[in-house]
Amino acid sequence: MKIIAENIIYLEIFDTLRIQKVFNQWAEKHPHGGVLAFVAEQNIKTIDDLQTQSNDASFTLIGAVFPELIVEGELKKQGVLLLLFEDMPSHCIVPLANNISEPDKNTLDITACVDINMNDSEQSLFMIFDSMVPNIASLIDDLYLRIGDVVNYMGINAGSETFQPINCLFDNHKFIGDAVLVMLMMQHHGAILEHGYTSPDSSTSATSTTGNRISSIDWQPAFDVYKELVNKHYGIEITKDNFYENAVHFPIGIMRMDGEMLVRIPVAFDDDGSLYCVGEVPENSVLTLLKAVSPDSDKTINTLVSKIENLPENTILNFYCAGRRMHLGDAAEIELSILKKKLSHKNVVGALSLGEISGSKQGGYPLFHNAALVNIPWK
Amino acid sequence: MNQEQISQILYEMALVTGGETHVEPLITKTLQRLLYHTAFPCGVFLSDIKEIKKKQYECKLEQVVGCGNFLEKKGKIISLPEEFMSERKGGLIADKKCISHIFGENIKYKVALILPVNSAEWFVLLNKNMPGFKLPIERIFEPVLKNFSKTLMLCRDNEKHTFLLEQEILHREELEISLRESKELLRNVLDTVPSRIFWKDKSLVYLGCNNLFAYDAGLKSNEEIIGKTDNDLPWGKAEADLYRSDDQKVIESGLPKVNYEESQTREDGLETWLETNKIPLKNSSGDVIGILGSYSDITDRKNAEKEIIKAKEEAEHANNAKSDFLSSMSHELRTPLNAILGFSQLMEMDDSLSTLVKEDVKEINKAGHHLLNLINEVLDLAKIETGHINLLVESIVYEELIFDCVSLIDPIAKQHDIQIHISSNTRGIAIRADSIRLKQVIINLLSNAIKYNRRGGQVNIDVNLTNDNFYRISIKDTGTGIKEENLNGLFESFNRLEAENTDIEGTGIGLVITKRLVELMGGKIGVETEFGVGSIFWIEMPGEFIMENELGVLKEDNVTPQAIDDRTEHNVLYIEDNPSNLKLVIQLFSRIPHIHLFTAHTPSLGIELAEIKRPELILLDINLPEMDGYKVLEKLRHNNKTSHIPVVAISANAMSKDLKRAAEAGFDNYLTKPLDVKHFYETVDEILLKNKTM
Repeated sequence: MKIIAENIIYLEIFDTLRIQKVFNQWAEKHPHGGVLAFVAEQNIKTIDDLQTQSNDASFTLIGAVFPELIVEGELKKQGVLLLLFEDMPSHCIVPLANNISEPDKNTLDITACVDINMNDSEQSLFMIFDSMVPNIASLIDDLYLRIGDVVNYMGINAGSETFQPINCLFDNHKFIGDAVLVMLMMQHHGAILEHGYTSPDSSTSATSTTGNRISSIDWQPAFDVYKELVNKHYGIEITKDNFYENAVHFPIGIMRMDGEMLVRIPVAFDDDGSLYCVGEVPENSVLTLLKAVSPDSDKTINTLVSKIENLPENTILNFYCAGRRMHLGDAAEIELSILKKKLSHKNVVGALSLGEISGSKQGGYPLFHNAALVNIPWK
Repeated sequence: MNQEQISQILYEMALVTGGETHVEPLITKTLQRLLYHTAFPCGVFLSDIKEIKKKQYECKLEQVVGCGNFLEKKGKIISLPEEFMSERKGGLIADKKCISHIFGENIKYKVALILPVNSAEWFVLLNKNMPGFKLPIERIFEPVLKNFSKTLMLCRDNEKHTFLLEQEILHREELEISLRESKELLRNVLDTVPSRIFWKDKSLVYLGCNNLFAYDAGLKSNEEIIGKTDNDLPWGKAEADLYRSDDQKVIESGLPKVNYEESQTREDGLETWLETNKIPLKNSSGDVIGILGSYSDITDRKNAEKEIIKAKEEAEHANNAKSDFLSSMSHELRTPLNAILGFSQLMEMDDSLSTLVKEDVKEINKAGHHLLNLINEVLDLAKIETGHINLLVESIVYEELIFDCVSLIDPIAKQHDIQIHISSNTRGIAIRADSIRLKQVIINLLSNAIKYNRRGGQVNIDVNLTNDNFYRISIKDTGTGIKEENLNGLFESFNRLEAENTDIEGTGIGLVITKRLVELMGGKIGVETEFGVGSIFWIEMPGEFIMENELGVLKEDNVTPQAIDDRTEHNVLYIEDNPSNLKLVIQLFSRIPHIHLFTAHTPSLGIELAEIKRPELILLDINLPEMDGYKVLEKLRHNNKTSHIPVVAISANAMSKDLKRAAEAGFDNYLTKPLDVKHFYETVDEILLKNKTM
């Protein structure tokens, strides 16, 4: 067990007795408190025990399963990270209707289950989605249409790095998938997100999309166009056999007029030539083949640090995109260690995420990203 | 970002806006795309921007995205400051005060980007700081906004037309539902009414019918009738032709044919009776377009009617037979009685006969009268029971009624040494009844009170007003009274309550007739009796109390017949074939020497004598050979020489119908056999006196 701070504990090996002790102590000291638990995918079976211990201690539990955890700038393939809420925020797990024609129901369920104060903009809606939910971007659009800027939007996707459906969200009683875990964090200013990807000069248009599936680009099968672009710009021959190893290095960007872009990492393809991404791609979006960050670039971290280092919070919840880690390989751990080094006065804990949510700037229009780092100040 | 990429993004935005067909999603998606591309967190769409007063502007906040604090103001009218309006061609305003003026003091945004669609409609995007946009943000979206403006107009038109279309569709759906319900209702009505209903076009082809008609036509459902004609249905050809002919007449005339009966014979030979209606169907212009028919099966009713007619005919036949029998009996009995009573009366007047013989003749006369009474009463009862009695209800002065009755009965009372007392203070009382029949009732009751009284007894007549405003006329005797066990048979025919064993004469019918008459006149009859003390027979009749000055109106003029002793010469002709009747009348006139009687035993002889002798009176028998009395009368009336001569019928036909027929034929009077000598003389006297005064 590693006590990172008074309110943050990391257990690399699951120890029932220790957890029991921690929960009892926290429950005694903070009867209105609770715990946010991040569980490494490898330790998914411990969740049942976590629920038992929290229930025995009458201590509120919420949490999610991630591919790996981040503890003090290091990636951990196993273990449990426990974060104490001295006062448990308004929270809930909302099962989501997969029927896209019912987005209203989902947003209604989400807004109904937390106590949003419509007159207080200093609150943040922290959402942890099951990464297998196909329409997260639309859902966020609907949510923003309904409640607008009264909250800061921030979030990540949990689940398995294999993109196989698993139950990944839990509380004291539930352990489910196809849902979102929502927390309303008061006196919070939102998250800081960076990905550092830049766009080349050339662009194309996604002419036919459905959710996260791109059927055609410039009226041709999406996979064929993608393969051609990668070959043209980077000289790499993408085949059906090497797609999974290579696609992570050549993400697709959705261009914005302000020069920024949303990153979409292709993760699968169909025999009909469709590409599947993590996150939706709006129809007729202007797409570009992105130039991924280079392993030796520290530009992303420097930008991030400049925005974080002077924040008053001692802890930063850092979520690092699993796709980015796949692209950078070992350089990802270097990037994380640099971040921790530059923020040595702060605790940096978190997890590998499967999609990231935040405004392009703090308080801006909420967007769903890939390949990004989301940093959430934690009191 | 190069020019190509900018164009592509603008193209993408144009596609997003151009793909919408409704106003709200168009504005919302365009706003979302503008926020997405500019990284502004909040945006609104203002419409209907106008200057309401000098330098005072307002607009409608049509859509809000991202601005949580004023989401609730969506759809409301807000005012716009003049500074804001200065950027009507598009631009950035970094003026917190100006923005707060529109969106309220709590607004956290200091920068507004105005993107006009046209002069009256703007997108306004809000941000905390000036954007670090490398492109001319206030101009870059102009192509998109122009495209949006056109699309917005199309969407509004579309919504307007869609709304109208939806209203039209809704209206049509409501009409269809209403029509369907009406059809269902009509169908239910058609299938519920007990009549058969059908309708045809002008070519007499069936267009529809109800279930009952379909059943009659041997069809499984009413829909099978469509397209058929009567020749396709299971009625015979003759009937089908008849129906079509009737239909054609209704169509050609445009007039309905209603409530007529017709028979219908089915293929199985079953005959049914129908009551049918056929009405021309007309369009809104009044042109006949077909025919609506209905009929009811009245076979049961027809059969019942036939039974009733048959029963009525049988009843009438039986009644006629009874009447004929009574008439015949009356005639047959009266004819010999005429001779018996007539001659016995003459013999009584014959002073040459010895007292002993006269006593015997008196007995014959008495027995004959009894027999005559019996016949009259039986006939009377028969008439009452068969309803052949005509009553003339009028107001009768009680005092006169009782006086007349007592006058008539008084001789009998004296014979029995009975005192009759009439109660006083009855002036003004009038009884509503038939005068003759009420007298008959009173006389009968008085007669009984005398006959069944003790010698030297009393009869008291009294009248009282009952609680029901009836007048109760009570006749109290001092006779033996009636045993209680005999009371039930009091009003039964031929029940004389043991009197048959006494020497008191009676037929046993009188009280029965009395009771029937009282009831026919709307009254009641009853008796209070004490055996050994006497009885009170009473009748209760409707009546009234009338004032003194009204009494005279009710009194009849009493014409006292003058005796035939004025010695004026008169000629009388008697036409009669029956020798004994002829002989009787000759005897009657032989006592009046100044009356010359001519007789004829055949009608032709009688007519000839009437022409020659010009008598002042003709007595005419009805049942004559060759021609009956009516034919003789007709000939006499058509002969100038005889038409003025009064003719009195003398016949044994004593039924009321006979009297009525005689009066209608023009006889001046009708005497029934056996002749009442006194009445005979009075009648002759009356006519001859009338002739004399003329």
